[in-house]
Amino acid sequence: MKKSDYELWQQLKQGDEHAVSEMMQYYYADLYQYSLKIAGDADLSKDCIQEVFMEIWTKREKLSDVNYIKPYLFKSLRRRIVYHKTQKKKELDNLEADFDVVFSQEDFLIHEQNTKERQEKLVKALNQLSKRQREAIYLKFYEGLSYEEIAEIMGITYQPLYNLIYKSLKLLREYLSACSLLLLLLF
Amino acid sequence: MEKYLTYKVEDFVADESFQRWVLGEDKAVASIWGQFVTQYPEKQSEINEAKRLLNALVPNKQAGKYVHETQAAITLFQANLQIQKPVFEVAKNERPIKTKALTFPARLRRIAAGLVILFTLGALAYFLTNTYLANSTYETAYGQTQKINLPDGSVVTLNSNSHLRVPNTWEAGEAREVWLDGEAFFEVQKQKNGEKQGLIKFIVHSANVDVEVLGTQFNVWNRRNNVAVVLNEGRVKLNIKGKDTPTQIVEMLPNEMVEISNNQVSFTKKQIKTKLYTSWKAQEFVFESTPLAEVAKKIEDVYGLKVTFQDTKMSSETITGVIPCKNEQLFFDVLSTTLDIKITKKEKDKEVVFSRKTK
Repeated sequence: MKKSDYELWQQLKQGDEHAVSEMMQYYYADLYQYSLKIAGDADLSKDCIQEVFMEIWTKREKLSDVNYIKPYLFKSLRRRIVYHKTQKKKELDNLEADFDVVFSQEDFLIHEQNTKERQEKLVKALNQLSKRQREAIYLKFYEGLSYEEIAEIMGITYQPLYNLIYKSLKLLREYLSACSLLLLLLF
Repeated sequence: MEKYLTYKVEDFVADESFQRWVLGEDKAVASIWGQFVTQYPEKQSEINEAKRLLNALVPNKQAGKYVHETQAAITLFQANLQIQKPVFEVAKNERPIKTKALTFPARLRRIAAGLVILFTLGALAYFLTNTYLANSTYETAYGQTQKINLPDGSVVTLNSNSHLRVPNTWEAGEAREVWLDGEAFFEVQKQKNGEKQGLIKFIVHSANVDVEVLGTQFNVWNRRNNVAVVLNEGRVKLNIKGKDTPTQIVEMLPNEMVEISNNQVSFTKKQIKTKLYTSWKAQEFVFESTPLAEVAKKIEDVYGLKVTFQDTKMSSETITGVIPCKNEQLFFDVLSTTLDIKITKKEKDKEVVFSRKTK
């Protein structure tokens, strides 16, 4: 039986190394995928994730209680990547320190009712969205996190986040219907 | 439920209760939405479109994706942890098997006293006796490591194919001395000097370098007449003895490595990551952009196998990762997979050949 996040976190705080391995076992793939999306760099992603786990291990005695581990890890990973990216950008003398989520076809299940073309259109539509919209959509629908958790991770409050996702969905629909309209006109 | 009446397609998709229903994650919400649909059939088409969009956004999460990355990350994490650990947690119940100290027969010495030749022989015999019988010697085979607890509480980890000589007793107040051939990691305990002020020195004698410390952790590598000392914490002093030149004294700080070659003309000092040099203690190698030429040296040290590169360019290629080295076969398997090369072992010649895979 899988122990609760709270129990696993207590195990970590008591200094049990296995707790960290267990967390990595559960969440590494999700963290890696997310970090690949926003950082676009496998080495940087791996380093940052190691740092996240090393940090919770070394600071374990000072950590407060956590009921949901996944959003906690996502948040500290995101902070680290932002930090590394801004460091790098400073060197490159570039002002835009934002990062980018790019969707690809393989990210989505192909349902029977969703043909390949439809899926292609969806990916195109998703990539038309702004960077923040894409990240919010990714965390909501891909990672299945709640609005509260995503707001915490992205460092905004509930309402602006909800609006961000709402607006993204609206735009998606518009793109998708424009596409079908275009197809109708062509054929 | 009435609030749903004002919902448009986007509102449905963005609603967390609607999401749980469509994705089948929550039985409780299913009845609410079922009821809503039957009660307000005019909303059916919008709900259908919302369902289609939501379903299209369902991720393709393949089970087992990034399994290798996960395992590699866990291994790396544990290796990093090992390196950070305080070292005095190690086993303390092993006692070295002491060999009996033989005292040289006093009568023979009396006869020899008058005769210079016999005296010389006697002195030589006495010296040999002292060396071999008043000392404990530890030896490790290829692929083997050994933890040794010294009488003063210090711990030595002896790497493969190495030899350490320790006197059975150290004279009170005298420096604690050991002799090393091969590679070892030392965790030296500080020892107070009885009535006198200060601490008693601990000295590791290797080829042409004496490593002098009070209480620290450091690695000494002494093979093929070359010496490299890596300092993890504390301070050490090196006495480098030259053939014709006076002894040079070098002080080291943590995270430094000093390499001394057998020509003794010069030494080099540089900043390093200690884990790259001490990971063998945890029976694994940590490589970080390490050229294969360096890997080849470690293979020779640990397994006693000479590495030949079929294509000499290969020796400058690098590798990064953690590979367990306790099991020789496993080590070579992992290495060949990681580098995507062929490794052939020639048992008879004590040789391994690295070659590129033929396409």
